[in-house]
Amino acid sequence: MFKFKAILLAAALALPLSAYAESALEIVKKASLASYYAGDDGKAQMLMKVYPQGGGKAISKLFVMLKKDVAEGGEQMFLTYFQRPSDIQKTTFLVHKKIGEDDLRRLYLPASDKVLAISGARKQDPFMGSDFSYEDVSGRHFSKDDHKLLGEETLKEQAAFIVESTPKVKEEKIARMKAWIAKDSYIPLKVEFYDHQGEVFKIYKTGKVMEIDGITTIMHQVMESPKRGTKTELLVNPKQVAYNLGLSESVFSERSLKNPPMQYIR
Amino acid sequence: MHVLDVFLSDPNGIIHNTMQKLLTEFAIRRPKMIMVLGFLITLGFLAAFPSLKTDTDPIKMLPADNPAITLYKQVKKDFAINDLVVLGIKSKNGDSLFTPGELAKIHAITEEILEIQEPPAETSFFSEVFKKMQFLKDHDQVRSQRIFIKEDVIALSVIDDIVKTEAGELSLEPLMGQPPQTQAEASAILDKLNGNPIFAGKLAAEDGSLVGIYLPLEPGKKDRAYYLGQRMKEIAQKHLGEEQTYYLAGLPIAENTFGNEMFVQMGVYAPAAGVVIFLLMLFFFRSIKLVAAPMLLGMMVVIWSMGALIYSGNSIHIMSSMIPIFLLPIAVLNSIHILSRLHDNLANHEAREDAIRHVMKQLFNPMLFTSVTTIVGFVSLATTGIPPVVVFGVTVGFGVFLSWLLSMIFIPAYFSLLSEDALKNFGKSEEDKKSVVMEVVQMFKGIANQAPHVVIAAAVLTLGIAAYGLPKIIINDNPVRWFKDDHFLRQADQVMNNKLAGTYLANLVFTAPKPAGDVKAPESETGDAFGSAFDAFDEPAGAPAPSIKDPQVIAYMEQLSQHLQKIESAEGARIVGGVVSLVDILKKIGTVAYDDPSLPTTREQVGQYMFLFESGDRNRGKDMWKFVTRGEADQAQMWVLFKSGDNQTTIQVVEAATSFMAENPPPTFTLADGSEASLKVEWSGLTYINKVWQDEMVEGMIYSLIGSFGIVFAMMVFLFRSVLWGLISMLPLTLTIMMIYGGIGYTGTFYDMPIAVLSSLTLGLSVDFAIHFIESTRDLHKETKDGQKTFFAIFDGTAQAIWRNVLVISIGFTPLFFSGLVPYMTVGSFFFAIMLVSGITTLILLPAIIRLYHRFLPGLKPSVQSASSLRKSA
Repeated sequence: MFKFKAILLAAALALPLSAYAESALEIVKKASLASYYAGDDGKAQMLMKVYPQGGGKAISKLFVMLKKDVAEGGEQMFLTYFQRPSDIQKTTFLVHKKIGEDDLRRLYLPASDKVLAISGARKQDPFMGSDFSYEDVSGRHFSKDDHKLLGEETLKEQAAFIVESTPKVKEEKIARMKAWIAKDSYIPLKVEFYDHQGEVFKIYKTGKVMEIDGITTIMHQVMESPKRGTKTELLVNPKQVAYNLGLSESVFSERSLKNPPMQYIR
Repeated sequence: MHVLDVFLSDPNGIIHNTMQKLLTEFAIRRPKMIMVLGFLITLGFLAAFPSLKTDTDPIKMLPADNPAITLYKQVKKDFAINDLVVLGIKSKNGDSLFTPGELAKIHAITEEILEIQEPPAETSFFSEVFKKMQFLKDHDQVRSQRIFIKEDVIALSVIDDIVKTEAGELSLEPLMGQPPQTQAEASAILDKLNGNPIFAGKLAAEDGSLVGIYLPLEPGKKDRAYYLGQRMKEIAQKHLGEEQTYYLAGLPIAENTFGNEMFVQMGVYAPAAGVVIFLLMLFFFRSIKLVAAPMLLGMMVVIWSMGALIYSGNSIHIMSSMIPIFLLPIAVLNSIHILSRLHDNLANHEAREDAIRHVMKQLFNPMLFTSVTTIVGFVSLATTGIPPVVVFGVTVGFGVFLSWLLSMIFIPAYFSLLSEDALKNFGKSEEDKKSVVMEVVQMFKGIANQAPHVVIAAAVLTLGIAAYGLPKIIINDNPVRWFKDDHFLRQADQVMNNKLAGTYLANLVFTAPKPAGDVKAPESETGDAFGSAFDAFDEPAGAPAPSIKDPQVIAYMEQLSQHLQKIESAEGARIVGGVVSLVDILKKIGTVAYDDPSLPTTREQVGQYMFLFESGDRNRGKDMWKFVTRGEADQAQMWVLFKSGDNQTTIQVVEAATSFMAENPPPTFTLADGSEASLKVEWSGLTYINKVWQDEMVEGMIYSLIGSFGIVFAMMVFLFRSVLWGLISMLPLTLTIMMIYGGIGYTGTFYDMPIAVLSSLTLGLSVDFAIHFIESTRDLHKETKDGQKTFFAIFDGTAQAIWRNVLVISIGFTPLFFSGLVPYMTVGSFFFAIMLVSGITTLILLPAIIRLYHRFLPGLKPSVQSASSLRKSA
């Protein structure tokens, strides 16, 4: 008798909770699609500035990144072509982002004329020596975490959901994440990454946002590592961004490393 | 009598006479007031002591604007160099630690060490409230709880190794993520380590018998090194078995330990010396109440001077920690002179006040001059420009002034307050017994009288021998040598340098010339106006800016590093145990990525190797950025690891590098404006800075010594109104300095900072003996008007006082022989030697000269007596 009551009570309590949980997942899914799967493919010239500890001189890299979504919300392919600094000009980097398995990463160094296979096991590894991880740049799949809606808040005059995501399988670095997701565009405005000591080790912030080909595009992203004291800025050149170019899968083959599709890169 | 009356009634009108009378009358008339004032002032200065801070940072040895310091600070910032605390784990029998069992222990120790934080602060109601108010500033609090930079710890279980996986993919794997299960896995870790040029020989001995854990301290946490060391010790003790032992090392530990032990030395050995001096004086004067006066005076001088030093905001360095030890004997010496004279004169005067007046008048001139010469000796140290030596010299100079002032006021005041009882036996005690002092002084008299030629010849010969020993002096100041051989830091130093590449780090800094007309503003944060960021990125056309990435620079760095590693000591042992630079990183990348360890040959290749390392590294190229600056890579540094911190080692390596660069000039660049500029190569690092300040110290000390020697000589000529007497008065100190430093040359004792400043002490103290001796010789001669009588009379009064001083101070400092810190031992033994040599010189050589040449000496001239008549009467 007592048991039965307890179950009823639990069910009653669980109902609104699960309703929230579902919408939290929905929010994260929409956010992921908005920020990482905009268009079927696309290109952007980007400038990455990494600020060392103590705020010294930033290291800048200029590159063009081509992207193709193999499956909406799933596998993706990226080809990065480096333009500056001049000593890494024509260096190319190919990433096939997989879900639930290791990424494929291939790096071509023109000075040695060799393609190198890079291990794609750790998605939390830093992307090109920046504060962003591979996952931060290409998107973390929503299925990896449990999501919970914590509430709503206005951030810089924008109404936002606050969603907390906790990895389903314990990870080395991330214990949980807390994201502020814009209610209108589903663009993440701010994300705090917590480590296992319960401290923030990374803070992501969205800067300028623009409408490109009718798609809300983040033009300026900042990732800070307060514990390290470093920071990375990632900027998109507004004159060099486009969606739905009709890029074929062959553009993202290993052949493109040595012979990049210059017609898209220009 | 009114103060003004004293002034007016002074018939001679000479200022110092007036001053003397003022001081003496003040002392005699207001003794109680002086006692109360003295007590209150002492309390005031004592209040400074709780805020005493120690600072043993070696970079404080040079002024902050010294070019070597400026470069070091820049390098330290640009290459994120932090001070390291090291735990070394070693197998006692020399077996490899790379076994599953041992590595499991090391892994566990590392894990536990990584969790060390500041102990939680005591919580109270207010601290809780404060914490809640500070809620948003949580990051700061977290940060302040860290003692070391966890992310930058270097240990087997936290560093990565670039490998090629079975699938042929490049991967950065932890070298020892988990302790290995099999012996084969364990041995493989050592092999991988030895194959990694960055860590080989640093993280573990090549035979695996020693493993190190390196913790870089958070900036500003250097004073926590001792705490960290203690915690590491506990953890190591908990895990290690019978077969292993551990060592703590690293400069912050050494500095911190030294700072802590300095307090012990100040708290134990300086007072111990005081006690011995007290007992010796008691033996000579047989009156506790009387002997208490110089002791009180000594304490006041020490407390006032140290208090003033602390109030002035200076922290206590190794040199300033020795101030009490230097001041105590000087202060006591002055008062012994007064007491001795009072002792001799008390019987001649009806009233005690008259005895005091008489003695103070007699002693005023010699006391003033001995004090001023001592002050000159110490204050001249201010010209060396070495901050701790300047602080030391000025403080001791101030202390000597206080000691003079208090001797003039406090001693007579104290004396006039003593009850008749306390003084009853004072004036007579020596008469009933032939003391040891008397016998020795009589012996000196015998020698000077019987064999004056031999004495003078011996002095000349000694000077010659000593002069020959001077060039043999080895200038060497290695802070680790401040600890005794059996100290844990000395042992750690020895073991670690034997087993590892070397723990003394010097840095060679390579700077590419600035491109002509480069006025690029520092990059600011992009903010909203980012559109222009893309346009601004375009590089100027033409030749690329000079960079370390230039293959000729890389090749040059490799040649230089190979040359440095070939340097051998006189015994054929390697001096440079290892060199690490960007060259090693490039070789490692080539080996792993292309199975090709040869260096890249084009600028693009260098840049792309570096790009590969940076983008493939879990730590974003952290290890590489220790050796080359980011972005344009306009500066690089090379670790040069010495097996010894002796500055002789540094000199040898620096000379070898200089001659290499003379034969193989660094590469040059053609700048955009067509001009040529070459790569700049400079030394930095603490080991090198040590050499720089030693060079400055030696030069500074020479000038300071010559300068103060000159000033003291001029003062002597002025005091005695005679060049001849001036010269004679300089003899004891000249002989003492020559003998001490000649002896240092012959015995091979390293000339270091404490020894260097001893020359000032010698200058100050030795000349005091001569002043007292000559002054009273001439005074006596005025009474006796007879060279013979003067010669003998001097051995009855002043000579005994001088010899008593010699004994009190030299024996008083014997407790320092047992000190745990080498500089204190050195100072103790040199005090002993300085006092004996200058005392004996004054008491044998000066009489021998007077005996032979008195007819030529001003003041002694009138009584021309033949040498034979003197000898007869002896």
